[in-house]
Amino acid sequence: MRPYRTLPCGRTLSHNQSMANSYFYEDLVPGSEFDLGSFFVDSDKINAFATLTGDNHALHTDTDYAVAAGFEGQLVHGALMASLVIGQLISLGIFSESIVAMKDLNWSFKKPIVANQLVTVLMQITERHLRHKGRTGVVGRRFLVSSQDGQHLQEGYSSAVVRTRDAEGAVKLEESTPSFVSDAWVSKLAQSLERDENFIAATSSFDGSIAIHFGHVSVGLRIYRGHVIDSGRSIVSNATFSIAASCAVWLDFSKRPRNEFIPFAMADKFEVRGSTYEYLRMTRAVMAVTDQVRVLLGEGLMGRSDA
Amino acid sequence: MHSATWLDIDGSQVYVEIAGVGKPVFCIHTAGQSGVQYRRVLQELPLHGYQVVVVDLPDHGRSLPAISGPIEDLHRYAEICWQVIQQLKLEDPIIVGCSVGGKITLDLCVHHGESITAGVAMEADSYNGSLSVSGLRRSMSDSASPSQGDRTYFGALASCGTSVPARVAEQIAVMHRREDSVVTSSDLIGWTTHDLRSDLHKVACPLLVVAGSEDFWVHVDRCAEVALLSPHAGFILLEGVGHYPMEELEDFPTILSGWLEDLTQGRLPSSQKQEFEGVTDR
Repeated sequence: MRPYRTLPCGRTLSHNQSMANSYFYEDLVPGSEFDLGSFFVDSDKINAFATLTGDNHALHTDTDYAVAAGFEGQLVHGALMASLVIGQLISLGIFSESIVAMKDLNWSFKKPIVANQLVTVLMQITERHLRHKGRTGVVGRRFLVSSQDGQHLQEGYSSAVVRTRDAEGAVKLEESTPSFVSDAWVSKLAQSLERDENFIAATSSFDGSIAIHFGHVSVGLRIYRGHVIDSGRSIVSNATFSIAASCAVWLDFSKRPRNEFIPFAMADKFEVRGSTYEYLRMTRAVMAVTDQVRVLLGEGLMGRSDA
Repeated sequence: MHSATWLDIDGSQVYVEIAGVGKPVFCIHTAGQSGVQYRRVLQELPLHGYQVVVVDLPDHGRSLPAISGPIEDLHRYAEICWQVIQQLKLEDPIIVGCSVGGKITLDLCVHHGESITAGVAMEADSYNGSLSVSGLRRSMSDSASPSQGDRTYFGALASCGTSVPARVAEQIAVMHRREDSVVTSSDLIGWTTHDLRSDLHKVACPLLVVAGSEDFWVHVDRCAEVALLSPHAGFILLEGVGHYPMEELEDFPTILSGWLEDLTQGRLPSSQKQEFEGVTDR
């Protein structure tokens, strides 16, 4: 099965097409992307949602009011668009046979979407980890809603529990190639840094600990003069400094053809906690850490431009 | 002929190098750097019939420090450049600058455009408030801002476009590591506070605005906007290029020569937004 599939654009949400070949945990490799197609939301759907939920503010129900307020038309409710994207997932059948539960949903509204505005939706798999002896796994999904000229209008995130196709095979695969961002993956990162000459040289004057956060998964490194003397989650809470970003940001960062940590940091895509002085002092070590993240992600990712 | 001298400006001494005979082309470097960024222009542009004049701004390169301390005002830099131009009796010069040098070029075109043949402003918008002035002031002290050399090196590497060969990007980054962080931070305060948004209509000379598509310091659209808001301006997008076109493009002197020929003959690329998007012109 191809990990990347482009679905036909231009369909509307009234379609209810089920795909025979649902995607299972094994198919949902971090970094892979799915074109969920293009659609628009008409005035009837907006009005129906306003009636159903009670969110009947004039911005959503009165075109003249919305235009007078500076928008280009009747505003689509943000929550409606989030629901429609999830509905699109169902109608396309991507998880129809594998879904167990949706764990969470976060949505951010970057620019307004108005009635009858054509939007395109892309889903990216951001991370995954196995559970329950390989019978199921948790998969992170990022949704990008864009206008036809490529502007990002909304961005969402939702993790879901999905079934594996073959529990035993999934466990073996995970053991040989840990997924971003499983416990085994962060352990592999720590082990790689322990052997990385650039990291060792860069931390030769350092006595402290560095934590790295990948979404909700973290790893801490206790370092004494170039040696990683301990690693694990217990070190995270009192790290000298930590670097944090969502899995989606780490994926974007790792798909760049070179290490662009500094532009990403200047754009506040990475968050630094703890001692900023030590973080700045350890610039070379931070570059070594992020180089190593890129190497490991390049080994197991779909879509890396130079991988 | 290639000569160099120091000019007495505002009680300090400003270093300039001059090469060639012909229409004067006055070149201004980026924050913290020096005229060495235009070394190939000095060597090659005279072959196209131009007199190249490259300045080291006060506190940079081989110029001495400004008497009142590092300069944080790009308009003041522009007026120092104008004094250099007047002392050297450069008639109707062409001004070329990049980054803070690009903004200084815009400033000169706003305030002295009637005496300038044309301006080439690279990697410069009319206002860029993206940096924190208080953060830049903190970064002037080593005790508050460690590893300046490493950060400048890695920052310069990332500032180069992805089309730039690794050895060229490495050389650019190593040259940046020589910077005095107090001077660079002062320049960057000038970069982030300089505001020509309400003055671009005063530009009285032809202006070419140039932007690298991969420059994270300044947004391409903001550069293009400068061309749209200036009366006689064009815009060129350099695909795969970052913040230092004159160093990243190995054939930059030839490219610049083509731009100057167009500018002096009244040919400007269109500044219409729908035309500059996705257009490469090298």
